[in-house]
Amino acid sequence: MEPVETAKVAHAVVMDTSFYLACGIFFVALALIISEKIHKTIVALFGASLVLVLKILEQHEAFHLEEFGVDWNVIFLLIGMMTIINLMRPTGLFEYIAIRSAKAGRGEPLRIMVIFAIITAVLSALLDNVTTVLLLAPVTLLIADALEVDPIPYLIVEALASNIGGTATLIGDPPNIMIASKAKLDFMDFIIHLTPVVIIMMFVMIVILKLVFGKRLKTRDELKERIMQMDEREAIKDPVMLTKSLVVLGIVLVGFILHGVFHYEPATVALFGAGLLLLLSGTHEPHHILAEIEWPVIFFFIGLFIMVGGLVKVGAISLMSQKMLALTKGNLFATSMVIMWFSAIASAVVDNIPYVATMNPLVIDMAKELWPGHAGMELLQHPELMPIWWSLALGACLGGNGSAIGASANVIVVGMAEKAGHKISFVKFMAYGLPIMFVTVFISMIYVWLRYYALA
Amino acid sequence: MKAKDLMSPIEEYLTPDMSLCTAVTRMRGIKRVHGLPIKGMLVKNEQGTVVGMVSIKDILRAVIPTYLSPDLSIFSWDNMLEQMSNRASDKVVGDIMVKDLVTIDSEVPLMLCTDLMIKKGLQRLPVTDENDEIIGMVYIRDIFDIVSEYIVKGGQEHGTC
Repeated sequence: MEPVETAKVAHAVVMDTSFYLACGIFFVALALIISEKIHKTIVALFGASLVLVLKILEQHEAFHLEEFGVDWNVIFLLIGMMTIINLMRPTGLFEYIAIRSAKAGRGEPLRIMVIFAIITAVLSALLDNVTTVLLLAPVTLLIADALEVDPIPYLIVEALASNIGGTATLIGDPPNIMIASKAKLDFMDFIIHLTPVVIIMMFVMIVILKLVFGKRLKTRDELKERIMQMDEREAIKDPVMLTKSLVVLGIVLVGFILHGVFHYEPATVALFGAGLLLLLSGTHEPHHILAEIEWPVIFFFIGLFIMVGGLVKVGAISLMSQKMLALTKGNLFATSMVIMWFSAIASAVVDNIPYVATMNPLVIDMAKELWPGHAGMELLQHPELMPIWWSLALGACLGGNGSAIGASANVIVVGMAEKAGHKISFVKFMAYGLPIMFVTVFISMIYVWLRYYALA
Repeated sequence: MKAKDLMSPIEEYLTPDMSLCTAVTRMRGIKRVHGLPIKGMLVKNEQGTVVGMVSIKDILRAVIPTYLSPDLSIFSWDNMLEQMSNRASDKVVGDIMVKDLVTIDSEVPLMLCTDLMIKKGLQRLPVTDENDEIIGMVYIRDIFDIVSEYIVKGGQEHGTC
């Protein structure tokens, strides 16, 4: 416990006007974001502008310092991947994969559900979750209509699978992108530490699906024939562009796998992929592709980073991390479990992006308190700190399944279902999501305990 | 000529709570002057206010599932249209009607009516009096009948017809 005591002296927080202003701006903004009275991007940008106008942060700090400012690695990784996906989308690849999978399931409703859950998880691990469900949901509705079965279980299962699958990789889910950038973790770290447990979760989820839906999902043979008669090759609109996209996506994936070895940041890899595919596409009007980037999400990140930067600078984050350590009495296993469950519950209720943006500096601050002599990578990737990063990632990503508003993929699925005339109530989503959230976080808990504490 | 000179009177209306089945039956039963069934009707609520309009396009739109993009419609099955039409019979007029009506004052010249219909892709235009009450309907077909007559007349005069 000694280090904590000395640290308290070293990092004494001065609660001056700036302190209260930074906290005030952040918590009012958070409340407004939760209330959904004003669009979250507007709230974040205005909050960030206040942080600058009130000189809580100097503009230089907000724009150029890693500690307080915008994490450009996150921003450009998102922009790069979104550009690649926008270029790939019109090729018809995703429709092809979906129809192909339904045929591989031979029109059997349960088998299709399982296959769709798996492809959603895999695609979400490689692309972002929202894009994955946005592309798969329409095909799912079509197939459910063809088989004359209720599409709602399929859609919810896809949202859940996309959140679970997204947990597996650095690029799968925004919390992982943010954690990777702050903790300087590379793509392979996520593959080694998170992918195995995600595979276990997917197995468990499939078993649960079989138990729950095994007897309920039935269709007639002539309806299965409708699926079998679809020709997935017709989905491919632009075979040349498809080939180019797949080559670039392959290069990007290899780039991600090797970025740690060659000391490239993931954003560099994504930007290279985006630039290359734009060049290969031969388009003369890149503004269409660039306009489709989710700018509101990008600016939400920018605003949040600056607001959280303000909190870090005035010492509010240090204060919170000291409280957290006092609570768990410096026991790191207890700390990681508290962080995992708290993250899961928090992410089910609020957007996990602001949550992780706040937690990242908090974890780093905690590390500074615990190991005052360490700095740089030695501190960020201190062996005892690693399970805490993984707990944060697992909790924040998987918690999204807890409610219909827990993750963007859920919101998209519910919206698309409603437009198609199938209303998914908040409670209905929770009936699927909450049990899956508890099961997956429980699996994560056992995994973290076994791998990093019991067997370490 | 003005809108009021060409408009046809409106005798029947649909109601927002009417099922698509009833609405379609009603529309099939009303014949226009040329002998073909009417292709669009106004919707009036219990208070007697006009709240929207339903045309055959709106009914057809209600049959196409929202998820069906051009990319996906190639994967439709043989009797999908029939299946979806059957399902659409449960919908009500209020769900599918066009709510923001384009109307035109009865004193407006036909030239303006024609321009508006072409620019906005309308087949029929409700005509209002000075109190904004709908008193009739101008149909694109009726405008065309006048226009075609003058085209033929002109052609004969210029020797091009």
